[in-house]
Amino acid sequence: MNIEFASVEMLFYLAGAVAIIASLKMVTQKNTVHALLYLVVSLLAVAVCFYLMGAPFAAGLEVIVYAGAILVLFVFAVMMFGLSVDETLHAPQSRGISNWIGPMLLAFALLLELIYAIDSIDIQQKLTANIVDAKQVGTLLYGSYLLAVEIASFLLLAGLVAGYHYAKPNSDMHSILHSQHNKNNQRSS
Amino acid sequence: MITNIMIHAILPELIISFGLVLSMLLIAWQRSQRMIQFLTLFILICALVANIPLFDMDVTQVTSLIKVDTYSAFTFMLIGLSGVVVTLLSGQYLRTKTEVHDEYYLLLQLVILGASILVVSDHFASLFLGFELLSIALVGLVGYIREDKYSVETGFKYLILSASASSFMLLGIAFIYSQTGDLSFVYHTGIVSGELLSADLPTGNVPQQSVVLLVGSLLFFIGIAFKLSLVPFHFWTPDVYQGSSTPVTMILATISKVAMFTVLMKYWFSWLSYSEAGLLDHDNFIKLLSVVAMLSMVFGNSLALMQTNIKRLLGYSSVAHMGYLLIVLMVTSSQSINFAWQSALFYLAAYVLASLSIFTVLIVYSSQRSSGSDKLTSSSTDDDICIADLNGLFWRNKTLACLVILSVLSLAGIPLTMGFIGKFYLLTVATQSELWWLIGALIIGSGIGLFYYLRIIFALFTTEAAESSVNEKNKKLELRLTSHLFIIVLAVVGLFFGIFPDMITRFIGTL
Repeated sequence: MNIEFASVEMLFYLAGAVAIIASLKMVTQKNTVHALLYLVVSLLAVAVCFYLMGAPFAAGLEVIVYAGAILVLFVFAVMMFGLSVDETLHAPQSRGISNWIGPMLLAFALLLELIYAIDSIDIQQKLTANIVDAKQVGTLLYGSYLLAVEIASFLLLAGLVAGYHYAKPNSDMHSILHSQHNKNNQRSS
Repeated sequence: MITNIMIHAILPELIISFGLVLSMLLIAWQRSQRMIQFLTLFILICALVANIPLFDMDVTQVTSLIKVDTYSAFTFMLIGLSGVVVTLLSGQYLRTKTEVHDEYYLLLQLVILGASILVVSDHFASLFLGFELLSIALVGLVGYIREDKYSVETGFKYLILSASASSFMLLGIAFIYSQTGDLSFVYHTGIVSGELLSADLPTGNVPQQSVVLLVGSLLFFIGIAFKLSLVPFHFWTPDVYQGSSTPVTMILATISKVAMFTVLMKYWFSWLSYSEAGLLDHDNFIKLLSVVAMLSMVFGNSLALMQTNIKRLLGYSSVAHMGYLLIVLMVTSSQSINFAWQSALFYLAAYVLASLSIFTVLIVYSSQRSSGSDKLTSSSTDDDICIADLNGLFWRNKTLACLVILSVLSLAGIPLTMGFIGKFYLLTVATQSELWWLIGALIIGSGIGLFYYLRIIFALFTTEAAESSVNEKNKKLELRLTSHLFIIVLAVVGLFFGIFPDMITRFIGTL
């Protein structure tokens, strides 16, 4: 097999490399917001991978759900924590563009890739040859995988209940149900 | 489409799911400690009743995700019965804590749902979802008592390790999918790509592509091994066993282990068909499995030797028991698969019954102790029961001590208990497949095991007590009537099936 630059495969591996680099940078960042910048690049790179595999629907979902909704949730969580001093203590001081040049370059690489893929007629022909579209996914989800969807809903319920239990304030129900223990509780915490 | 027969086959799971919704409605209506416990109990018993007709049913495929057969019906019975016992004991245990009860039962039902999906799954998608459902609900449970000193540590340890286990497993599944092009366990000739078949069959060599399949299966096995706490992946077991509250430890030791092992067997025995079609070099994987099994037997037993905390000791002993159980996977021909299933089911039944018994004793004993003595001083150490705490238990409460003796002997595999027959089954499987090294490890492991199991029994009869606590030690341990009855029932069941094991053998034989 002769290696062609700018073939679908090369573009795919490039996007994969961007995803790996961005993920590595994400877990090594000291500042949460900077890490989130890398995270969004990583998610976008995965979306490009999906697109290049001929699954534009999955790519769109990746962008909307992960890069859109979940990341906003992360940003909210970071803001809600209110780590006023801890947040800036270990963070590098603002040194011009150095904080955002990394994610920007990676994102720019993705953009170039995408423009090239859309522009090139050859690649477009390959990509549109077998497309997994929304209708196919929907038929599967409500057809043979219906039970899986139901199980997934219970999985979400489990996560919700467990998360709520760990995160709820210490003495909301106690004060009503176990007023005699409450004093003891607060002393220990 | 889903027909009536299919609905009939997954009725137990449907009942539990419906019960979950009902439980949430009940919580929204009224938070009551007793009502939610009764509802959970009722749901589980309904599911168990709905499970009974499945023993006479043919193998039923429900969509491509789920396959219900008699083996899975049997393991569901084990899971459901453990669930009933856990529910009965949890109420008594939770009453000594300040945490609300409702979410606990919700999570308990979710664990049982996850486990029951695992045992019927026939597809990697349902396997993974069941696996995650089991793990995530357990994460909520292991740290449930938030005022415990170990709560956060245990919860986090379990969360991170089970998440990494799932990611290993997911990668493995992706590798397997890349080779077979199909996510279901069963090997369909038509679905595996034609070139793979035609290229490999005539030569008989290890085909290039099957290496990826092997790596995928290895990663998948790692994910399961985490949950079964086999040796290279056993480090979380003692800490989580010790740190979580005793009824939750009971879930970890019974429901989670049974479900994981069943699904491993289901996958493995359908994988055998791959190797028979010449797609896979099966021997290397068997060698690896036997190394893991041997290490688990020897290390699990040796590490348990010097433990003083009973829950840690049982954690290590579970490592060894899962190592013993791996023997049944080593069958090389598809003819002996039925016998391997029977041995595994019998051993699991014996293991579950013994674990349930000994954890019941721990729960009853610790709740008795905490209500007897000063609450403030003992509240943090309720769950830490050392062997020394059981000193002289026989002279204080004979029923409790008898149950301990029975279950410990069963775990050790002494005749007249179910554990002995279970080990006998495993030895038969091992000799049939000529696995001499594994038999050696099994015997050495059991020998080491006797030391710490007997240490518990010796402690029960020790009469000397520390001077300061003579009064407390000599006091008779009085139990409530219900727990007394419960313990007697467990002991009678254990003894009965130990003396007449062919009741179960015949039953399993008809499956």
